[in-house]
Amino acid sequence: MDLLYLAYYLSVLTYFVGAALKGLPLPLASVKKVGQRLMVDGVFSAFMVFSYKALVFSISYFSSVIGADWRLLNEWYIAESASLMSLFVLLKTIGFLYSKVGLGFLASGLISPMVSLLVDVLVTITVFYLAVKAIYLTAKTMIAVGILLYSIPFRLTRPAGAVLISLPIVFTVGAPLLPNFVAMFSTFNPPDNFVQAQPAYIRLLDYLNQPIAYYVVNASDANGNQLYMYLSDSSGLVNATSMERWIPLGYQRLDFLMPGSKYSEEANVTSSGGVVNLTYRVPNIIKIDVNTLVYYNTDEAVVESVDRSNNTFTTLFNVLYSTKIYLVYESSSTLIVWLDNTTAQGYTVSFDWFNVGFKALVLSLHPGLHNLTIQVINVAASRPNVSEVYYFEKVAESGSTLSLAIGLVSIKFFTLLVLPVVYIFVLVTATLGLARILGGVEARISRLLVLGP
Amino acid sequence: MGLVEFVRDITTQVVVVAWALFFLSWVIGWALKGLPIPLTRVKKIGERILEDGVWAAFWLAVGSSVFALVSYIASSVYQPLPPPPSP
Repeated sequence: MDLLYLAYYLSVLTYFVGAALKGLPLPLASVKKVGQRLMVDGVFSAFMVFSYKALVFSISYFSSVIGADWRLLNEWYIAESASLMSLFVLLKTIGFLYSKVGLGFLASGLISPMVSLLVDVLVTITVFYLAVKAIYLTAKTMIAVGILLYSIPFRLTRPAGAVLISLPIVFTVGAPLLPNFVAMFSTFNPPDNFVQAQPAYIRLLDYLNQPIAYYVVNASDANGNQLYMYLSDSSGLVNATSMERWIPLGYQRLDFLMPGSKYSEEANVTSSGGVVNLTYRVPNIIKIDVNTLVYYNTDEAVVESVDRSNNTFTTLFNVLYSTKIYLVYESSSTLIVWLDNTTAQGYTVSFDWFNVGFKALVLSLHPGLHNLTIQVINVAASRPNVSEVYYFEKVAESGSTLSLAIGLVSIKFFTLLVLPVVYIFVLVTATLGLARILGGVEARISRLLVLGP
Repeated sequence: MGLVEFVRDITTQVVVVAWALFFLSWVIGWALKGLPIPLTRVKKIGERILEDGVWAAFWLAVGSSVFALVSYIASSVYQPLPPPPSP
């Protein structure tokens, strides 16, 4: 290497300049001393030149002794930056949700400082990673340049050279241990997903596996506290995939509210990677159309056959005991109902369900086979006026979301900004110590590096 | 490599100058020592210059040997390093 040749000849020059000063015919002790020192310096820097290979080798030697692995640092950096990114997304979502729930002032006042803190953290670990990687990749050249500076005569750049030699050694050996250093302090493990929720699709099917439409699903926990309340769309699907509509994990009691009826189920939602599908079948309901349903008692009547053609719907009931069948429809819908091929005789009840007027035709049947025919003239299919309760709204009201978010951000700040900075100081002091052994670093420079100006 | 050549040229010149300085010290030293003045201090100065000059000449003469020795020692320090213990 040319740098090393140059360094070698510079040490030779230093040595001979020292010898010349020593041979000077002047009886001055100080000049003789300078000569003596120059000769020793020359010999020592020549020694450094020849131990270049040993210095480079010592890096890999100490690395394997200590157990430093650059692969681990790479993985750590990728994992931590990914977790910071997901925290950004989380904070963004929280801000979005809070403004949706009507707590926008909290979002702007608290979320944006947390985001800027996280940016600081991300910049810190990225700069650390890039700097350390640059030192690692240029370690050999840095050592060579360090030796060259070290061997310049009259100790002009000797401290700088010593620092340049020890910096790659210390950082290449020490930097990959940062994850271990951070792991030493991380005693508190926050929950990965602090809003324990899951996107979901909820479906409710009738006896014929047709989706029932417009129903309201009202969920409560084991203590009977309401968790969320969502309305299905006209195709009978509750789409709980946007984040504020996610459903919580664990046990929940689902009450499906339909016009004039209620069906209850219990669910235990477990965390799965994707969207949870909750599909339930109600055996005693036949769906004619949107907001048009037939209720019957499965113990007292059995459906023998169903026939659907155009707008006409025919069901053959085998009635075992005297029973009642309820046809529920919207007040503004028009239906023609026959029972056993004569116009159905029964009484009608009117009621309101989520601000939509409904009617129920109640038919009494005696044991035997009965043929119920319903011809649909028009169906209003009004959307019920339900004020949905989002699960996230419930969580936000309890206030735990924000404090947990603050906790998460603080932990990231501590482990990814404070601890790396402390570790860098440890490495810098080690570098200066090594440099002092190698040939001295001026006290003023070292104090400047460690404590700042 | 111009810089290396430059440094080597300077080194050669310095060596020449150093030898010249040694001869100068030698001459001045003996001159002071042989001065027909019975002053011990002057004789002492001459002797010190002479002694330093002789030492400088010695180190100049063994200079290349010194660097050969350094190279030998440094290389032998690197050679027998044991393989690191596998953790």
